[in-house]
Amino acid sequence: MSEKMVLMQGNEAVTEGAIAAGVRFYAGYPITPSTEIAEIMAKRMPQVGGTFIQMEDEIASIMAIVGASMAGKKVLTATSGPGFSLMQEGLGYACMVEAPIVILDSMRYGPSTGMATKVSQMDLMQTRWGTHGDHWVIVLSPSSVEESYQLTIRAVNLAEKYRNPVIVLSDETISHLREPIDTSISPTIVDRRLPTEKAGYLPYKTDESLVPTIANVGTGFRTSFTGLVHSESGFQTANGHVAEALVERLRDKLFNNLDDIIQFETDRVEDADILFMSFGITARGVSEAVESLRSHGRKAGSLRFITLFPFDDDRVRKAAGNGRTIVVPELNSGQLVLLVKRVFGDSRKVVPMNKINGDLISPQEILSFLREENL
Amino acid sequence: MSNDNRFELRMTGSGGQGLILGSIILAEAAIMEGKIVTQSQVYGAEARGGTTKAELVISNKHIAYPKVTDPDLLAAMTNEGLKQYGGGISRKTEVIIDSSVMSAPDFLDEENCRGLLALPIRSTLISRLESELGLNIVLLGIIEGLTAIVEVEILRKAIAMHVKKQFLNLNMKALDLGMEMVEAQAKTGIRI
Repeated sequence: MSEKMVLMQGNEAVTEGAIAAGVRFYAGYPITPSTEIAEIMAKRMPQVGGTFIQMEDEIASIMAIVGASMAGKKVLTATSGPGFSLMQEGLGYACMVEAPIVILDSMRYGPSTGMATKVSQMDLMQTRWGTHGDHWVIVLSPSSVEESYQLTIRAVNLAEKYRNPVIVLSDETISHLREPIDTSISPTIVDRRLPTEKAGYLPYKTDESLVPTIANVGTGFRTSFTGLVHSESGFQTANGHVAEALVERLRDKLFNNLDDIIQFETDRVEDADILFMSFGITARGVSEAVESLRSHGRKAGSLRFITLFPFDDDRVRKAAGNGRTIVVPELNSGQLVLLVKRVFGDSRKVVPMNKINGDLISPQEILSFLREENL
Repeated sequence: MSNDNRFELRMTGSGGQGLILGSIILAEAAIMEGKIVTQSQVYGAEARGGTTKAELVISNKHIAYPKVTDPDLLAAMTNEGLKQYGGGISRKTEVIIDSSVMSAPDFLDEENCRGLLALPIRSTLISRLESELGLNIVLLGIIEGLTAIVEVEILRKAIAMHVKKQFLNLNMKALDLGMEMVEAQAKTGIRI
């Protein structure tokens, strides 16, 4: 192990990843279990020449980072379920104006204020469908402190590259876990594309990338942002053709680049007769269960979603091998399993495994579950 | 470190005793020796006197599941801590209790744990070092004395990273005291 290894908490790794990626603006409203991110950013942002603002609530927080992003800053906010609910309005707006923003949602337990200090994976579908209307976001799911660092960097890069909101979906356990990580390697940094010609500049005119350049506010370009359907000029229209083309482009700018965006981690899926599909902290119990099953001669494998959305059925099908049974453990009443069932229909046996008491799924529980279900 | 390459420690007690800091210090010492660790704690409003728990897993290889499932060592610094987080132990588990604040629990015997080490931790700290602070470091000394999980000098280095200069001497003495208590356990400790 490298001597550069430092012990870091998940939330701290997010802040250090963000700073390494170039984030220089943070606006937020502290909420357990993401609070340390705001606390650390309050100290770190001024140290690196950035700005920290504690806002009056989460609606203001997300709108502040949208504004700062459109003015040229790389931005982050962090929250948890109750705050993420408030942010949904701003998230939709960010999708529509194509603001490169990163939101960290550290999942705690339950609907409403739930249990603030307990872990869950109950916000999965909220990341995808929390705000109204057809829209597309990128959702990344770390399963360790190291990955909290790496994926925050990746989230900032993807936001800038595709001019789109990116959500890092963490949870209470990863947020507060401490593990050694190596932050000494310089990350690859992606910057947004800027326009060059002021004359004739249209804020939403695109090339074959389908990603418009951003004229950062204050750089002398005439620009316009609105949540209303807008033409290339950025001005509102109720023209159905323009609306259709806009919403299609918002989808296609991501879906034309799925190879770049989608990442899985697979472990011995090729010959697996029982395959686990999971994400985030749950994948770590799965990993140990697979190890234990293999050591007893059972052909087990694992597919971990690093990118949760966009979710591409074909890619999941190809990555999943031929195992006849798929078990989907998750800390909710069954959200990821809906997607997995959609992919496989009746062609495989898809078995949900759910835990909703605020604790993790341990490797031992996975092994007992298989015995109880005769899998 | 046991044969399965994984050492699991759970410490429980009262918020303010510094058990979470203790687990972080031991984690950092292990990292300095090139080991892998995962450190976690019960998270809530325990900072001021509630019952708290800190957990540490140390391994020579990648740690998949980060939480303690079958502790090698359970250290309970209050009765309430033992009640709340004393479950989930096995015949693998060595249990340490502070006999100056709690009596040996009757539910522990040779059937359900590896051994019980009852040491008057708090009272010895007060009488020997005239301090109420440093209980967590005395406990680290006891853990080190029992397991030699890291090099003592590296543990000292990790402690120095976390304590203010004016308290460094006290904390080093606290560490020595803990190790001494283990050595002297035949006289002062109760073992089953």
